Amino acid sequence: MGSIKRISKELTELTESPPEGIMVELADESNVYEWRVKMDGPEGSPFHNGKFLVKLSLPTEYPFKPPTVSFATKIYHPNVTNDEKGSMCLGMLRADEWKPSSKIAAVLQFARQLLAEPMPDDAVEGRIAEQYKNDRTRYEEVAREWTRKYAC
Amino acid sequence: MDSGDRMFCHACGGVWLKDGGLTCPHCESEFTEIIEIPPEQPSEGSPSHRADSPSPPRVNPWIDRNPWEGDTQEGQGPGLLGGGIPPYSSLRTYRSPDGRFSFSSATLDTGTPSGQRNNGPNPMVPMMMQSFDTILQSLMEPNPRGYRGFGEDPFHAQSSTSPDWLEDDHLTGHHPGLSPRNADAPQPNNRNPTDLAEIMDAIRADIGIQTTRRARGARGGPANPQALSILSAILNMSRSEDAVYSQEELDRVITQLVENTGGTSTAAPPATDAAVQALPRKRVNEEMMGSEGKAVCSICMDNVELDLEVTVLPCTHWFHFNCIHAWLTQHDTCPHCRRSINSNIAGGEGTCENPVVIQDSPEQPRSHRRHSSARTVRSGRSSLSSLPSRISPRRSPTPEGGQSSNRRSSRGEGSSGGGFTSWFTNRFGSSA
Repeated sequence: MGSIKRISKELTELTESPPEGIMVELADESNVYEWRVKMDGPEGSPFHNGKFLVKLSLPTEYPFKPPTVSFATKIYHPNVTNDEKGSMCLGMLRADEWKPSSKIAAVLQFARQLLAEPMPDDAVEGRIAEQYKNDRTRYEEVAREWTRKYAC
Repeated sequence: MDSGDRMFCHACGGVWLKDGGLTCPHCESEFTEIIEIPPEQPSEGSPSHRADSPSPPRVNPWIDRNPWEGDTQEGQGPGLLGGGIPPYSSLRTYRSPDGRFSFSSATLDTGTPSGQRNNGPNPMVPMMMQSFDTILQSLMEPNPRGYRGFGEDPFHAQSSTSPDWLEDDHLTGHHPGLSPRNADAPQPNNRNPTDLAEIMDAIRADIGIQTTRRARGARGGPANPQALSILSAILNMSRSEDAVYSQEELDRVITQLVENTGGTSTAAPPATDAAVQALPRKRVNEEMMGSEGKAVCSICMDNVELDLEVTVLPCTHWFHFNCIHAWLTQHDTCPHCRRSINSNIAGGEGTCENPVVIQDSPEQPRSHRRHSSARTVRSGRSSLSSLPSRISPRRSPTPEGGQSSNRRSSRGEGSSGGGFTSWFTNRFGSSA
């Protein structure tokens, strides 16, 4: 499969020159489709100093179909589902927005950027989004607390 | 074998031999119908009822015939309709004292008191299908001796002038009968399915019943347009066409809804293989290699070497042919800038490959592309998801001026309601 070649290539690039705050490895050395990503909470966000485990799953049709990103570490964020899945809603990963020329590095950087700047209008957790919009202080308090509790 | 066939004129009611032509000799009307009188087949039936074939069509030559007579020798189905009647079913034939009509009833003993009962559709389905198969055979074979379904009465038909029986309790076993040729009542002007056998197979496959049908060669008679309403009645389908009665049907509706409203509906439709093949190719030159003298195909991320042949899109982005082919057969936009590969001038890059593209994509190929894209979808995904795209080519058969802006909006418009009609359309599309 051509996809394995491209995935390996991206993996090599990401391990050799990782973007800021992002560390990737395969969840299982024999399976290039499941990645474990350690993401540092971006500075200036309530997630700062937290280390989040992110799972990245690539479809066998990659790069023609988008990867999926989910947070294994609990996180208080409007764009991450507050359940055992921790799915992250990324516009660029939607089937109709995905472009095969997007790289995994870009996806992960985008995900990390989303931690710093949530998109409440595109939220999966409406209550957190409301709080983010209307009571930013309280939102940051809870997010920091969760980060301390789950991500340190 | 058509020598005994008659013609019936719906305008004046005249009857004449088919050999005399299809136009009514009495009133010149062309609103006529062939009434098939099959020749006698010596292998079956009781000799006393051997019909003298040239009899007027309104007089039924088999008026006294017990429709169950022939079952033993040509029992076409196992068990129920064969010679031996299973213990759990009873089969009765009634005839009115004057012999003018008769009807048969088959009763399945399911433990409830006999008589009029409203069996649920599920336990009845195999039986109904078998019965329906018989009905259809009657429709397709112009041989009245072929009547052998339970609850079916070839005689009643002659006096039936109302299609109301469709609304009757057809599940109770008291079928008033079905007329393959009801010359007295005008037939609804439905679209004739091209091949009833094909329809039956599809129906059976959808319901999940495997039955073997005997080959019946190429002598399918004219299809009765009522067959479909009969079917929907037998399957207890609502005529309002917005009810579903099977898991498959439900799945189909849900899939269709998801396709229409979910994320994929706004994704660009696939391009045809032909359209992809028609894209210009060129060898990588130094200009394309960029300032660093290095270039990659952004789909496979492989480096490309000078002089390698790549495929160039109208937006001037280029890729390996295999890579871009794999993408374009899913979405017809550039993986880089999302510009449609069908937008001819597309921002007006005056590069040398543009003229080729303009020649290759005028109005005409656009409609062609849409037709074939439906085919691609169909083979690529499950047939469940193909409903909207299969319908749209039929809805808009004419090229629409080649405006690419219309393309997306036209995609989902073919989604009709669920139910039997959409099932049928989905299955067979336009028979034209």
